Amino acid sequence: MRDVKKIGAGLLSAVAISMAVAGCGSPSQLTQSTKAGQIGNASTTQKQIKVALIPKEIGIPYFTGADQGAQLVANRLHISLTYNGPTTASASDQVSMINSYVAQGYNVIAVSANDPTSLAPALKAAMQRGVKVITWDSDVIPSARQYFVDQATAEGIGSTLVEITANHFKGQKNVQVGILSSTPTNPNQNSWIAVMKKVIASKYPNLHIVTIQYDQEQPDVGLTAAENMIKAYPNMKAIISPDSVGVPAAAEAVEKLGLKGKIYVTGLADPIQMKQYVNDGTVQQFVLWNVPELGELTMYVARALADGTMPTSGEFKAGGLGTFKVQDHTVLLGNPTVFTKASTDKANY
Amino acid sequence: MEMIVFSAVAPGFLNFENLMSSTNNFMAVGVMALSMTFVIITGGIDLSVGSMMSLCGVSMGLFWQHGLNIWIAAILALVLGALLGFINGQIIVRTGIQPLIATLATLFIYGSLAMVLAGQGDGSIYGFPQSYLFLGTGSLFRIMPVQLLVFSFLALVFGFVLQRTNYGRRVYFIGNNEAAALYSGVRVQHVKTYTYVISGCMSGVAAVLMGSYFASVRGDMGLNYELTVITACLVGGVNVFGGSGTIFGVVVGAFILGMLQQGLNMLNVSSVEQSIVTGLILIAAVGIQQMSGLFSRRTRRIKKDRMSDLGLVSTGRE
Amino acid sequence: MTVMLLVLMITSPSFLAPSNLINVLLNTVTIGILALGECAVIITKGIDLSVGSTMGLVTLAVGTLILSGIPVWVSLAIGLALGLLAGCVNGIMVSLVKLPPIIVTLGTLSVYSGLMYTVTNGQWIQNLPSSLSSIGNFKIWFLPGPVFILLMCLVFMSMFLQRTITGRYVYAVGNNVTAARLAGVQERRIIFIPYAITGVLAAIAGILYLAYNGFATPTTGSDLNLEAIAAAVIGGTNVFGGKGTALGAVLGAILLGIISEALVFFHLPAVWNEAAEGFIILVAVISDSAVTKRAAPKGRVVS
Repeated sequence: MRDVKKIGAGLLSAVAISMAVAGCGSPSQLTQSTKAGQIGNASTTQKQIKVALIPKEIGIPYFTGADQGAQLVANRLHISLTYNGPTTASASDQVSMINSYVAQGYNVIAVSANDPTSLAPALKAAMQRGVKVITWDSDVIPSARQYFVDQATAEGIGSTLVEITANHFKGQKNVQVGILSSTPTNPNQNSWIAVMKKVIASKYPNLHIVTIQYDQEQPDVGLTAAENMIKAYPNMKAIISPDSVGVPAAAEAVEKLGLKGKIYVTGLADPIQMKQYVNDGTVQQFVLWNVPELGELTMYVARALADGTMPTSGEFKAGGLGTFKVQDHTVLLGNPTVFTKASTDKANY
Repeated sequence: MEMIVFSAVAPGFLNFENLMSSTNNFMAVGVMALSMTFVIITGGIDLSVGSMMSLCGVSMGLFWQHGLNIWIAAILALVLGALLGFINGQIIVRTGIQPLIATLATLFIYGSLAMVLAGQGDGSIYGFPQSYLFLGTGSLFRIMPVQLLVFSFLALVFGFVLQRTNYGRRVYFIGNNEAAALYSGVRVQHVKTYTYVISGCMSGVAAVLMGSYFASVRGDMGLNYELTVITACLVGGVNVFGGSGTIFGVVVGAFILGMLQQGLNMLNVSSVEQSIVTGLILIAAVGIQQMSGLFSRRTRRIKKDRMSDLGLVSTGRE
Repeated sequence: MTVMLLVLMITSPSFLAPSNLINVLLNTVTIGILALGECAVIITKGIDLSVGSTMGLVTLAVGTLILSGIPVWVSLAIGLALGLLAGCVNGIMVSLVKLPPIIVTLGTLSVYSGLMYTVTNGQWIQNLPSSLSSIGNFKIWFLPGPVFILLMCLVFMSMFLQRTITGRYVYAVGNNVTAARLAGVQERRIIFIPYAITGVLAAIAGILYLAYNGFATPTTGSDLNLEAIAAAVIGGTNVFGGKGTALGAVLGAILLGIISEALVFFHLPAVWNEAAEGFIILVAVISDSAVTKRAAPKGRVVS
């Protein structure tokens, strides 16, 4: 074909450019390693280990909070920490990252899984090559990891959300509740919603869920969805959103439609993003766990696992952080916290 | 060259085993890029490949869950893919609406159907038998990944069809001058429809590979794949207005993109910077192709413009 | 487009109450403004896949500037300039370097969305001062501010396309580049202008997005790239160039907004939203092309 030459030139140039850019890429690697290299505490009785902390998605305050916690203790534990994740919550991007961390000789990989099963083959391959595997925040199937650092059980989260809503509507009959979730395939969301349904059915027959809508992790989609559900279900009294995009979106919708105080909004959200809504009274209470501590605990588990001192059950003493329950290879951070105005003002993540 | 640089800066990149197994990450994209080449050469485009992949994958999972042998389920997924592609093709040739829009619509429809079928539960189907999982993660003699083998085979077949058969020649003919092809007796609608059928079928193949690689299928497994696949074709030198492009180029294009991601991962370049790099490479690759082919292109453009003055062809903007 | 209006009438009786109509308009402001720019670009036979990302980039840049203490009006001006710049980059590469629009904007799509993270260091934009949200929530008579701005953009775009010489050249270039060139039209300039306008419109949409929604994530707008094109096309803009109106593009956006709202009203599960959207696109475009064919049987020869 007459275009062969042209194509060849194009390809060559593509290769050349990718090289040039890869060249530019290396400085950022340098800064990263110097950052990690500041460990210099003379008393290095412990071997330095490389740990990769992979969130579901970068750019979410929740995961940034966990990273902050992890950075806090990484130096002290002689961990050189790399925090990187996909830009959209994609399982396949996580797989290619896991593979490259294995190839780079990382000692421990700690991942918040976008999917319980898709990551399993890659994680199993990593374990076969001697890499220690931890999941945090969102688990995979148990055979594909050694430990799961659990922020709170699905039961704890689901029932706390329902309980604070039920307490607010104590004594009222037939309270319509709408749910604003993130995406239809998010396993955490679905397991929490399942628990919420179960708790409502068994303990709070006065509540019932009329609709489940999705914000697709976009504020404008969430806002529109919340407004639409308020209009489509005029008798709806409460919106519960187990998603950190959904809660502020629902609060914003309630304010826009002038229904502050008429519709009760709660859910799982980061304190820093809820400050304005808690201060102006649209949201009274919401639920979360201590996110930086989740990151810290993950680092302690990584260290203990690399040293081979991690108990399979019983109690795990994580330095200054405290003692945590271990059961079935799962380390439990504790119960979720209900945030009110006072505790929201104090939190900085 | 790319490889040399990466292996120099990131030790471990050139570890042979790593290199071979890293191809597993982008074989699905590669397979879909092969068939996308046909579509784009005829002057079309298929935005629905990712959604078709999700729908085929989920259907395969459901067939298997309802007691079918996994391999039969996989073949049914390919058939389903071909059917979905056939629908795309028929919409395009019968109604004459633009491929970009037709497949944008089916992107939404197929994707939505995949989500509905996958169900609300935890949304994924898994637990496939070991023999099937070997397809996605296994390798022959410990070095040759099965996925790469499948891809190589398909690439040879597609290359042969495109360069050596009548069908391939007609694909180029239509892309270069649809009106002339029509007047010289090429069954344009037929040939075009087939390109979409093949595209659907390959989305099915990609779904089977991905399902095996991830040991599970999900309703959103193909989300956002369409632009990556198209990028692989364009970096590989396929002209977005049709008429030119080779399978060899596309294979190289797919490897450049795949290896680039892998290499940047190894350098711990964050996924954000990777996205910027990918965009720049796409523009630069096509820009340089354009400049090196400026002369031959200019003569051709005059011909084409004259044609469109006569109202004979309706191609994209030159 | 006639057909589309009909679909609109049939689906909408339950929302025809004026207050609700205004609400639908409010929810389609961003997509409507983006579709206006997209429409002009498509008329020149181009396409802009990066509108949503341009919008997102401006949203996050403006938010970051405001949060760092720079006065709101200065930040907004910088935002508009940034949008213009992003649009000009697309325009220059398409008109001057003569790269295919789909490739240029596919490339800038990933570049701009990568920059979004860089601008904010991956953080969300939140806790904005109330001076900004007043832009999103003011009212002119009975019209909410953002809707008013959408209408202004619509009037501007219609005037530009229908009443100015440059506007008519845009159609001319889209219809037949050679003829336009022979008639003395400076095609490069004409092809460049719609991309620049699109950049500014995307910036306006981004500012309204931030002011109205009150917070933004680093993926803002990534879902709007294809939607803006869909809206323009549903509204009768022809991807082969030369045909389309600003009003149609906005109506297309409104139709998309109504669909997603209607599904909630009819108590359908939300997973069907996209399927419905896809069907409406097909129905709108197919019926549109059928109507055109009947109206002008001696039109294009091929397929």
